[in-house]
Amino acid sequence: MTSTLERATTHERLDRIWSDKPGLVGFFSSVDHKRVGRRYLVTSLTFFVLGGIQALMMRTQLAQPELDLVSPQVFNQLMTMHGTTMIFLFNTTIWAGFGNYFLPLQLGTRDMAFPRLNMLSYWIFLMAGILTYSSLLVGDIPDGGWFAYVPFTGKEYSPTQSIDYWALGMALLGISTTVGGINFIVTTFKMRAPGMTVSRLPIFVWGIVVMSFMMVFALPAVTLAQVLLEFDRVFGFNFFDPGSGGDPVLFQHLFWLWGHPEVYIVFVPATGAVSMIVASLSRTPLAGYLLVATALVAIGFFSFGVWVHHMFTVGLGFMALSFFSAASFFVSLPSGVQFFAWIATLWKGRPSFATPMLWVLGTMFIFLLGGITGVMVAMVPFDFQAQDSYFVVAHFHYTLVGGSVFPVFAAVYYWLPKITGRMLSEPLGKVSFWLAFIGFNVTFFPLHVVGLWGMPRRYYTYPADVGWGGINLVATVGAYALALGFALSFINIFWSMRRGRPAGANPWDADTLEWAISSPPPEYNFLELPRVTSLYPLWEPEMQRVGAEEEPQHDRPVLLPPEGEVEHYTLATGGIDAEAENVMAMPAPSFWPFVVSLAVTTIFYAMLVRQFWVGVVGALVAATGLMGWYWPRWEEGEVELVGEELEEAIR
Amino acid sequence: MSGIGATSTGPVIHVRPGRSTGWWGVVFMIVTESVLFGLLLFTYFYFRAGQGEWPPAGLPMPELRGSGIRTVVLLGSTFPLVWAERSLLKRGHVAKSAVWLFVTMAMAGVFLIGHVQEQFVLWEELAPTETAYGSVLMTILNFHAAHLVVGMLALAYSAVHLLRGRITQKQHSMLEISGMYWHFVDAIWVFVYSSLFLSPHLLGR
Repeated sequence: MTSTLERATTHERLDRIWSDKPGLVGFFSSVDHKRVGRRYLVTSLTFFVLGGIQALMMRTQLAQPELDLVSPQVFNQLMTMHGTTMIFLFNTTIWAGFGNYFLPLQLGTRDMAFPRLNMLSYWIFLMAGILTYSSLLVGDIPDGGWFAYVPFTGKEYSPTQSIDYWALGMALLGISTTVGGINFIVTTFKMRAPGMTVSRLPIFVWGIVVMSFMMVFALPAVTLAQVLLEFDRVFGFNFFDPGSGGDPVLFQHLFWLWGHPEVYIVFVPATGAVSMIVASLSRTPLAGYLLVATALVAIGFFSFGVWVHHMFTVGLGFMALSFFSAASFFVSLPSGVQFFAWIATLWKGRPSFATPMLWVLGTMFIFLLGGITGVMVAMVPFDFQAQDSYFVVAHFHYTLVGGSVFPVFAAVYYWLPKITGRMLSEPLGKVSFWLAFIGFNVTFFPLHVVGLWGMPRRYYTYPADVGWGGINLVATVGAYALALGFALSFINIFWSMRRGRPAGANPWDADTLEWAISSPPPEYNFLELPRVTSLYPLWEPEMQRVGAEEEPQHDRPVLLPPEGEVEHYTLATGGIDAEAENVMAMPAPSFWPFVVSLAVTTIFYAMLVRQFWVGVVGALVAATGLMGWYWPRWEEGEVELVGEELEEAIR
Repeated sequence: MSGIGATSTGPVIHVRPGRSTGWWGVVFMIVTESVLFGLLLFTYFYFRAGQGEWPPAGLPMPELRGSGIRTVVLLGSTFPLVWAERSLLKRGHVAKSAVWLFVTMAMAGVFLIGHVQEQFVLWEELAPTETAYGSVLMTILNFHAAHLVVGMLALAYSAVHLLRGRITQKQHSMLEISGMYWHFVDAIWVFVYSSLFLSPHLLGR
């Protein structure tokens, strides 16, 4: 393939093969990873807005002592839904969104390993969110906290179905998260561009892969906690009833066995994104790439050994407390490694202070404070004192907002131009950042103080004579500034989609493969599948030309199916060095993921309304759907290419 | 194959065989499910640690004869499955392979019938709504049985496509993958049986 004409024809054929059908058919049958990614981002940010509104309502109620803008019951519901929304439905899923969109692009391939499972995981995420939020329609809203500790959430003390909405919705979401994680791992194992050795993986990919491994190992714990809670509530089992040999503390163990890794499940991909942004906006390779990658893996391991620090005041043994306290100090080391790598990168490069970089610097400042208070609460005696006070609220907002929310906005400003093809406004972005940054600190820094004064968390109000009114008012004003700051970024997003300056292929002069193709990327991602010879492919002179409209490269395969066929071909690679193994025909667009996710959601709704025969119907439909899903597409004799045949085909 | 990759000249890619994505996907599904079973068994021993007597006073020791026979049948079903895979992969005998698959499923069926019979007895004796011991025992046993049913469906699905000629000596990943899942369900039973049935006898009340 040499002439421009031929390239245009190839482009046209690939485009026809990879495009979704128009209209509703395409909407429900699409399996395109970019579409999945976009849907994840939009849905996840919508939940972020909902969680933010709930936070503002709580802050308004707490602005002055003894207000009764919301009742204690509504305050409990707000507190529960805010935590559930922000942890489960926003912070975890937003990185799945960025991962879905950018992981295949950074790996130089055309799709995720399991495109249909990918779409399934989005649909189930959406339906799990709807299931939990449908409690608003009947006014029976979960009010047991985002952690839903028994015995309060047991049948005896929560007789209505409010807790069921939480437990079933979040267990359903667990399916989505698990298959999503497996998909990321297998995609990275099997679909890296030839030559992308393990030591050439973009650092964001490291983040997503470590996150996915943590999901695979940690999620069963919380799913089990939720399922056993439902067994107790629906069938009258006795897992958490001490009178019958059960144990409420077991719920806490299972919950935090996932809950602490979860903190890092949102933190690890966020730091991966931060590392990418720091390096490309400093126009220099990331300092200590190997150390940073090792730190990410180390965080993944150690995060499984610290869950009891959420339970210091439960009444466990002295040895347990000492061990988990020490482990909690230890886990701060790999995070420190990343910090110093970022500082060194900024130091040796020529940093540009464009908006993504501002959010990154904000991240560093906020997360640093969260880390310092983290070391404080890792000390058992200090924790005894700070437990259940606003000090803890301030601490984990500094870690989660610094460790995930600010990086999300950095990533939005950095990557959205690739998705929409247009740059966000720099001045508006900067105003948005400063408002959010100042607003955040004005909100949450005072909460440390008021927490140490003894203000307990989760209460809907406080008495006038303790003198907490002034400082709470400051925090509430800060919360509105923070909300306004975030709102400006949303306005910026909508503005940029219409009016933004065209981004071009590589507006940041960055080094990873997603910047080699046009913005927005073509349906098939890469015209010629790239070959990688470096950790910074686009900073290598010979790799400046993999873009769709550029000069042809003679050693890169296009992989077109035979004339007239529409199979989605991409390359399977394997091993440490990502050697080519096979040409894979990826699954075609299909309605089955949507059907199966509806059927699975039906099973969970059947549990909720205690109509078990409906659940059986749902299970049968799901089983039938899976059979249709995996129906073999190959006629006899037409097998996937292996060995010499393949070598012949791509010669 | 002439239409594929009408690209360029010269050898660019050296091909070596590797595992399919589906194989890796099921490996990680097995990993996450193993964690789930591990946590269920953790729950069982956690309850045990909190009790003076185990099984709790007044409840019978687990019965070993019927459950032992069922265990032998289930673990034995590994062999016909291996033979089914070998007949197809080594010799290309489709019919023989399908027969061995049906033998595997029949043995699983025997196990499952025993499981259902046992449930009728256990539900009376242990009453999961009365004790945490009953709750955790019934949950684990039925959870395993549910996995067994899924494994049987996967084997049946493979058998159908084997007979339709869609699984062949060259294109056999579906059989390989459902086989792997079956080995997993078998292996998990070793842990479930040792914990729930053998450990009370070995460790004493």
